Amino acid sequence: MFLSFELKNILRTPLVIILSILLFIFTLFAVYNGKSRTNKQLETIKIIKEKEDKFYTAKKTMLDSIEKNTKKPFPDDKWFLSPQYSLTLGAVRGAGTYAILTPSPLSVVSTGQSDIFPFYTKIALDNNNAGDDNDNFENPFNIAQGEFDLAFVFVFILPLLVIVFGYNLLSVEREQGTLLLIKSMPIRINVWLLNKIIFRFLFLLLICIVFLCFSFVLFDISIQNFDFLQMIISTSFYLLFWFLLCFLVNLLGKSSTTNATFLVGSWVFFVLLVPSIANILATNLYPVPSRTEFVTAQRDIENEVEKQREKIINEFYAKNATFKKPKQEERRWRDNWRERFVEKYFAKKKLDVLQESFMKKTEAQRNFADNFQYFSPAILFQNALNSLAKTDTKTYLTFQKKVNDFEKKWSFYFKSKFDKDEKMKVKDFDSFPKF
Amino acid sequence: MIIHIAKKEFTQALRDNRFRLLAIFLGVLLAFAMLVSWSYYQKINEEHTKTSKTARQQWNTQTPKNPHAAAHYGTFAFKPIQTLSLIDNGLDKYLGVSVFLEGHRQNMAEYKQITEQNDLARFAELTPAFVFSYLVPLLIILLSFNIFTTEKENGTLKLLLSQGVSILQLSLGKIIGLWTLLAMVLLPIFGLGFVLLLASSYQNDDVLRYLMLIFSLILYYGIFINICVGVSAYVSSSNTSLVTLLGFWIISTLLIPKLTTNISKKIYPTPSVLDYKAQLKEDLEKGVDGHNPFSRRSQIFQDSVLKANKVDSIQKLLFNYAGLIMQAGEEHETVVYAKALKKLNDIYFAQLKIHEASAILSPTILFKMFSMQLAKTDLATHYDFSAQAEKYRVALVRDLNYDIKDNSKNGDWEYISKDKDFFKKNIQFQYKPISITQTLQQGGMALVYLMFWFLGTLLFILSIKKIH
Amino acid sequence: MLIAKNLTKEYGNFTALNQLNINVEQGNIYCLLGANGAGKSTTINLFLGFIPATKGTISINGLEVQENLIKTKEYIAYIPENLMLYPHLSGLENLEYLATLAQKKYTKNQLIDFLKEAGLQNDAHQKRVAQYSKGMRQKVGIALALAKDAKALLLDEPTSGLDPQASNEFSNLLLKLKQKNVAILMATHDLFRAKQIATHIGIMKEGVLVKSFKNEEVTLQELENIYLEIIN
Repeated sequence: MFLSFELKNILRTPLVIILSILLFIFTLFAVYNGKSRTNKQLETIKIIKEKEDKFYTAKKTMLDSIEKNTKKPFPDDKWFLSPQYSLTLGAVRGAGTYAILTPSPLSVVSTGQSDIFPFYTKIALDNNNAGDDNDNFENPFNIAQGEFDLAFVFVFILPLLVIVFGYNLLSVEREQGTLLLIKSMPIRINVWLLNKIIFRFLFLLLICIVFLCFSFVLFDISIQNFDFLQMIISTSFYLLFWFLLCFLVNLLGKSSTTNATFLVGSWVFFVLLVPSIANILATNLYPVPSRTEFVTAQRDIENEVEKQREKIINEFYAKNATFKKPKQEERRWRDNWRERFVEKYFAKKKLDVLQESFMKKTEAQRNFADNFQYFSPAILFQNALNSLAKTDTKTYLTFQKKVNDFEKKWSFYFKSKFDKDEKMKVKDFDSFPKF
Repeated sequence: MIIHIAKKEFTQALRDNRFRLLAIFLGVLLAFAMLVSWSYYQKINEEHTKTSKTARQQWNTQTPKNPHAAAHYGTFAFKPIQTLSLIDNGLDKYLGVSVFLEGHRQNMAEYKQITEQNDLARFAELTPAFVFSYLVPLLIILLSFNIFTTEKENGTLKLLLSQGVSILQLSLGKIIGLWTLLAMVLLPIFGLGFVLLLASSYQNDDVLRYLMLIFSLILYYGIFINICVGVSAYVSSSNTSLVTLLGFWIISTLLIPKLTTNISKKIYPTPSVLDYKAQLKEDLEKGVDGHNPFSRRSQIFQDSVLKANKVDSIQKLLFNYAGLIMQAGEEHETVVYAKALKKLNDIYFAQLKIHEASAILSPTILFKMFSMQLAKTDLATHYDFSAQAEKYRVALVRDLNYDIKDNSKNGDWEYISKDKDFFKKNIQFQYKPISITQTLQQGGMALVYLMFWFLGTLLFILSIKKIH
Repeated sequence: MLIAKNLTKEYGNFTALNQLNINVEQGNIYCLLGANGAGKSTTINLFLGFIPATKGTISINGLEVQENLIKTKEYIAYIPENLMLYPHLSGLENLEYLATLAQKKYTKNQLIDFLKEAGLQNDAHQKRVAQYSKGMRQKVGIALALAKDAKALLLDEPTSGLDPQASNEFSNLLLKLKQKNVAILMATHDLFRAKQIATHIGIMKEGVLVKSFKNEEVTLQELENIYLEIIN
């Protein structure tokens, strides 16, 4: 009875109905946007996988016919066409494998950082073009505005709905005069108010779940998984926070207008102000070292290595007796590549140190900014959604780290073959490092 | 009469603790945001000057090498920070700061600040522009949502009207009162901004830009004040007025910009990187490849050169053909990159047009677009910088290739310029900031639309003849 | 049923109610008369437990009010000067909701019977309260008292603003409740109605119950004279 009365009361408030319908439309549109974004990624992944498959299948077939003597091996000066050489399979002319971060089932939920971080990278020996192959292409203006995704609807819009639902629960009773009658009833006002709040909380939560399930099913996204449940749970905590705030504000016994002002003020505080202050403090207290300085420092290292080139190469030949420094006229592509690798790895060690110190500073900034999440449930909730959608910074940084590790594996595999001047075999194809 | 009404609103609000608290809070927030932005600007500006010098130094002192090898070695153009970014840093965070200039290809600007940060950075940042465009309108709403409704609820409105005051006088008086209050909060901030601007390495037109920014802010706030007064006069209860106005604020600042983002992408889809690169590759292969003199296109080019110089082999040419074909390849590549980039940029600007159209529901997006254009932190300015960098790259590579063509012998791949200062003498990158005329040509419409909004909302107030 | 002993209420230095002694028994209608600020509403609010007493005791059905805030409210019904209900709900729905809050379970027909008993015309039961007149809303209040099975009814100037016919109708309803053995305490300005229905009358001034007597002891004219004498 209490419930049915509350329900009637809610359903007869036109604003609530309009907003619920809007929430439904927003949810639907947001999920649709998320789905389009994910589909675009999946399409790209399909294409690059095909590209890679095509390349290696062709090479494998060619190698097979060479091994079976149905095809003549390539002459040495056409080595870059011959699948018998590890460089052809691991380094040059389109060789290489794609490291891919497949979108998670819940990636529709939040765009997160997916519009600024690459989700795939081509790995080849001697050519780590992380980010080069998939520069993010969206309009920077659009990236800055942010997408209309589910996370936006839930983190930003949902609290406003809660406020509309609950800002005047007690104050309206006072203002329309019904409070006197309620107070003359054998009940505790606080408990009665809490019941109302809890009912509205459950009502809104139910609406959200229904809308979510409907749009997920409509767009063919699985809801039978633990992540979805986790999303519902974090959503309910977020809703609960705002409803409790409404409860407390109502208890203060101010007018509906004051309540609304105070609650919207809280919304601005938690959703806009705390994050914005956190951002400005993070960029200024823990500045990321300038990238322009990084670029010039990198160049300094390259210059230095270039100047020492002769020395580095000579040292290499002195240390590694298996290789002999060729005379200028006997120089073949192998020698050039070998020396190039020597130079490159020498430089890479130094560049890695530079990169490391740079990354440490960015990490310090990130860690500092992370502390701010505890000041705002909105940041916490957004982070939770991002990590459920696997579109958070951490996922991408982990991916980048994995890519770097994998690149080492890949390079090691093909470079060892190159160093040993080993001919590639068809059966080697199965032992290529896999991401 | 109007002045009296304005004075009453003014004194009433001044005595209101809520207003005093909010005004002080916003004022402090704005001053803080400005000072922090300014110190950030100083730091980046200093860095930019230093690193640009270093980059050039590195070019000058590179190991002597073949000019074309130097083209591959490349150099950098760093994007300068704009003085007015201390008010509105616009898209700066989302745009690269460093362009690598090398032979054969046009690179995009790299290293966006946003990729160095974490998820939190996607929320708003406390810049003066953020406070100006999001929070100050909220202050206006909180200040004025009940400017008429309270008088209705208390019954004082009837009393006023019975004194022979017209509704128009009442509305205008209230508007003037609100403006006075707002001026009290904002004038010191505008002054602070001006001082900080003067304390930066500003260009002459930056002052004009700053004044125009203030003018557009006045229009923007005028829109909110008009709407607030109008709605407050129109509806019967303070509650309804507050909900309506907050609804408008949310639509204007949050909903429409985000919705439009997705709609613009639906109408003008951004191409995938793969498609973009594939098209680029295809177009590149259609022309001369400076590094492959045996390709069909290169042969055709060679024949035409021989014919034009009336000789039968490249050895007989009076210059080194290698330099010429390298440059021919370069010119083809330049055109291909320029075409591809233009196609992409055209899509971006078409998307921006959709945002501009969405301004029919959101004055905020108009103000934001115009303010970042004035601050030169918008997309157009970025592309202007990229275009200048590209122009410089083309000129530099041409210098290098023509040095081979004019000063080296055919087949001499080890050629190194005899001039020790050769690299030092290479053309230098001079960034010329976008002019205010250009800005107005690109973004002037936003200002016109803001004026439409302002006049439209003013008409809304004038049209109110009766108040219940 | 409604008993106040040496009841005093002070707001700082201001004494709103001074040493009030009152006992309204079941089946009695006690009318409190007095000018604005005489302490009538304070008395009602003290019985309702809305405010605590400074001194003295106040009890309903033998239970001290402040110590049994919830329990005592089970015995009473309250009709404020301007009884307001939920405008989006019908009279029946309002009654249903409020009865639920009073922990009473009724079928729809039973509730309709209460409304009928309270004199609310049949076609109004399903109408939204937004369209009700004050008299109609008060009938819902009476119906609530019936539904609550209240042992006592507290009324704060219920007839102000009612037209004579509605006022008369309301008086008859109170008499009906009296017959059901309800103890009724009513603050009012309306001497005529008081004389018409009261069993006991008390006249207050500046927080003091100056005079109380049984209704039958005076005529209407005498009542008015006593009243004016005290007030002036």
